[in-house]
Amino acid sequence: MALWPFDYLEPTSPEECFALMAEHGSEAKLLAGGTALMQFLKQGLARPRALINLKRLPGLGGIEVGPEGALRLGALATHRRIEDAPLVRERWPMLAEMLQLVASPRIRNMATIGGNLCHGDANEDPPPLLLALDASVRVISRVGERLLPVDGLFTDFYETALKPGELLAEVRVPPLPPRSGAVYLKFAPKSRQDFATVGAAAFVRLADAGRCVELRLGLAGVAPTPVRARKVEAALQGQLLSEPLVREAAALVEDEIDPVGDIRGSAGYKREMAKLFLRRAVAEALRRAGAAGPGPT
Amino acid sequence: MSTGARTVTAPGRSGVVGARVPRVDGKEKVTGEAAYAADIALPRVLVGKVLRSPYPHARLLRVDTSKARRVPGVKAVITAEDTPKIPHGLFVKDTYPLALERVRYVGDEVAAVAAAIEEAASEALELIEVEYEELPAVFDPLEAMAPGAPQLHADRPGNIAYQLSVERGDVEAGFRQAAHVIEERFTTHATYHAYLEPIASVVSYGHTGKLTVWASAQEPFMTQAELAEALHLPPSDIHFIQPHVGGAFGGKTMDDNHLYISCLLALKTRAAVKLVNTREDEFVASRPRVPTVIDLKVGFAGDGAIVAKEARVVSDNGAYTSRTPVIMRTTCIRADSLYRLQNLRTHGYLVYTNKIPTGSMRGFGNPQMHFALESVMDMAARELGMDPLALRLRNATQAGDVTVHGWRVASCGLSECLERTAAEVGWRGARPAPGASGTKRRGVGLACATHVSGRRHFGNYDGSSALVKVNEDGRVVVLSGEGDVGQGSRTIFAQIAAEELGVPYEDVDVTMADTESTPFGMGSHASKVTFVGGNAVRVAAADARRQLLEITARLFEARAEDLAIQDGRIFHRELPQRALTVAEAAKAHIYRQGGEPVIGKGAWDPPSELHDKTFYGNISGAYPFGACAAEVEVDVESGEVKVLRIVSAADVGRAINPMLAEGQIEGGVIQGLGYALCEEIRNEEGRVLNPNFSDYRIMACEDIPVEVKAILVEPVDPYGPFGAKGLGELVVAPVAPAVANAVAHAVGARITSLPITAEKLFTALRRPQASRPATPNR
Repeated sequence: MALWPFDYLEPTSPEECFALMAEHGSEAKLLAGGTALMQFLKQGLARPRALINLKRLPGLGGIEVGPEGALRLGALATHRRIEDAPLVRERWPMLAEMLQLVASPRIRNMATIGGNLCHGDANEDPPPLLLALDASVRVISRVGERLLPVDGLFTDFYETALKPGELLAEVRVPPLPPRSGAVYLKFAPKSRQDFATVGAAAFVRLADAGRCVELRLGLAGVAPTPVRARKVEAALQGQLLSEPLVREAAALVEDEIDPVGDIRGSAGYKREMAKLFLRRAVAEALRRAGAAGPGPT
Repeated sequence: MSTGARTVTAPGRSGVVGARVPRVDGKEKVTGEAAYAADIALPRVLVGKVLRSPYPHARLLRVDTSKARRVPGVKAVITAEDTPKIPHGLFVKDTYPLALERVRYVGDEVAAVAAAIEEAASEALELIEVEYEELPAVFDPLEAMAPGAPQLHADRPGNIAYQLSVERGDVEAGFRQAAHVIEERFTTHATYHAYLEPIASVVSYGHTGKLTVWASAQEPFMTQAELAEALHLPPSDIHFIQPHVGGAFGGKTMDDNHLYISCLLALKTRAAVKLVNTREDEFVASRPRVPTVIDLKVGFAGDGAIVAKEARVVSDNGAYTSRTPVIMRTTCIRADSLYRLQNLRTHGYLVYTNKIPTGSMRGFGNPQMHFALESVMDMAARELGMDPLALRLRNATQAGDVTVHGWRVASCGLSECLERTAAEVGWRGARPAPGASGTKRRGVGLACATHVSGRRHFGNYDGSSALVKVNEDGRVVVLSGEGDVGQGSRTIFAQIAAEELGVPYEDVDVTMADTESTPFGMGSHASKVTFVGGNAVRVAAADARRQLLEITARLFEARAEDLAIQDGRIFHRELPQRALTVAEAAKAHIYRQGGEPVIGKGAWDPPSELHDKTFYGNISGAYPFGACAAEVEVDVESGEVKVLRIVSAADVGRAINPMLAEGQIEGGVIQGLGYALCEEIRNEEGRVLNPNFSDYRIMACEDIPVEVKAILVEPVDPYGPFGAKGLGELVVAPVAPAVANAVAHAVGARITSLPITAEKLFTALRRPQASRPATPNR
């Protein structure tokens, strides 16, 4: 299938890339793995006049630990490379587990973590877990760089907080503190390779007494953007997490989500599944944090 | 030539029938060498594109192609005005290649372009100006039947494209005998064939005066005839060549407009035109499986005997008709021969709606009724307090039966399929009262099915023909017009010819189907190619063998009956040292005064008959039977169903190639699971919501149960080539009811609407336990 004529550009340095971005402005789209963008082009959902392929930019594919102990993922690191990296598997195993749930190996061999976030798709799997893990992104531009929490990156339906001329360069995932646990649960009942009907991630840190002192919850598929479940978090913060308490708190997600009925389920069903999988995610994160699991009150 | 004759099952002469030999086209396909229609490269070929209606129902007020024609590189822009305006449709002719005056579904073809390059074709499409006047539309077949509904075709009042009634025995008396009556409504949905290769064609036209057509079509000669009629050409002016075809499953019967349009573009431009469907074209304008609403009522005696069956079938035709009348008839009738029924009444209505026209897909209407009937069997078993396996065995058709519709069942492995499936799945062991720990429940379900091996219809003919040519080097070429769309028929034909002739399998080639050089064949439909085509190949090979023996008898001055052929050698039975090779015999026969090549000719038509006006008759030469068991795990909090294990047994008569037969079973199971659980073309106001594989989910590798166990049951059919019957379609039919029965076993909820989505089951599990749908005896 032929697309329309467009300029195809391959800058080899950030400076060149920024110049091209400035020159083409909103007429240009940045191309990383292309797994989402090419679908958009073929379906006529985007019609850029220029594609700026980032693959020749140096230094954007690293997978390493920074001096502060955070995992640093270069924006062009593919899902597959991250999920296979021993460093990730040993120290951020929930990240590898989550990536293994994304689409198929063929897609994961191409799709990049930076591309995933910049696409701003509320149905993707990485954002909820990155929200729960309190990850941030390093954004670079002609004028410098800034760090931006992932919580705040997603502004609307397929829209992000990146400004014109900015390039997402790196994803930073903080180290996991002791007595913490995190997990991402993907509910895709039609096919393992499908987008999630609902995706739910939880991060839990316990104090010595077993109380939950830190908790973040992320959701996919239930709002125009990936979202935190803040009311549920607030209800559980500082508590001893019993099964009835978690169940009661999860119901509070109702007010924080706005799912749309589609081929993956009605809005009502997605609401029910958001509650269910939040509840299950908290239970699993707790188990991983070393608690005996949500016990009796 | 042999017509309706019983072919004797002789011991094999090369031992290749029943062997797991590799496919004749295996290497070409796995290396990517095999050329499919879109790979056909001709000089100066034009690119075709199609403009489709964005409205489900509208009058075409004006189609202005003048701007489009002026795009540089554009060679033709055609509308209905450029066509002979002859409608096509195998059983009801109501489809124009390009819409005439009205469009009736989103996707209906309005105009087409041929251009030197794709970009020009795309630009021209955008410049075609169409003025529509929207008309009221109807999408639900039950609403379309109601008074006052928008009418799609003036000559089909009430939107009824076709209807039938069939009645046998005394239904009222049957229900009066019933101790239990099960009555329920079942609904099934539209699914897409999801073959790897989208429909594609390359059509060339020029001063030869002939249209040469390479297309992904599954019935070469029928396609030729259908095209000839709609294009108003003599059939022999259409030379159809079948390239490799990347799967068909009933979707490449060319009932849709694709091939008509590429031919019209070639005729108009007097050039070669290539038209390749995008995947979206496929989802919006191919011919998906017929959605059906089935109201089914079945009465059972206290001992489990089925005493009466009554059904009302409403089939969603979509906007136009092609094979759907006979597909609906199959829904109405075919499953009745699964059991020993006597009293039944069925009314069927095929109803137009403003949606994609529906058509044939693996099973041809049969999976729809099997879902209903086989669900009812489990519901009845529960009412009767009987084991569902025992209930089925109690009613199962047996070899020698003449069924309620007059099928003469010569071979039947139904009971054996049921018993072996149950044994393999550990039927009694696997059916404990479902466990109550955690949120998961397991269950096991069973279902069975029957189908045909060909179906007598067209001009009272359901046969095939073949030539078997023995070359001067001893190699053998089988010429058959049946073609191969991926199911492996060329491999099967090579095995049959090698066995019958007594030559090594490796020495047999099978040509591709070509209407100018291969003999007539009806092509891939009704699971008939192995059964009917294989018999024709066998008869032709026997003829070639007879010739070789006679040639050798002359050379040896011996009697032909004293000679034999094995492994490519012809020898005297008593004097084995008197021998020559097949090559030597063939060569000796041609290099002499008045010489001629060795060409065996075969035709075969099964001993079946046309049904009478009441649809009674032995319509097929052989009937395959099968059974399927599914073990599932249901998450009771989410409604998600995971299939853990599938066992599928098929009575194939005899497996010519067990590896290919098992492949058919595994593929059919996976397609059946897609039908049961995840595949569904969804519409909203007539617009397809999921016209791509991101949103239309087929089973991915990770979704397929770890264990799919195929069991071949081989009772050896007296009419089949070496005992073989049809297989391809049969195996889909029992899968969805087996899954539905397993779900009901696991959680007690009966899902009567396909596909069994997590949300449907979640909703059902939250409904207060309704009273069982059984009705008291009347």
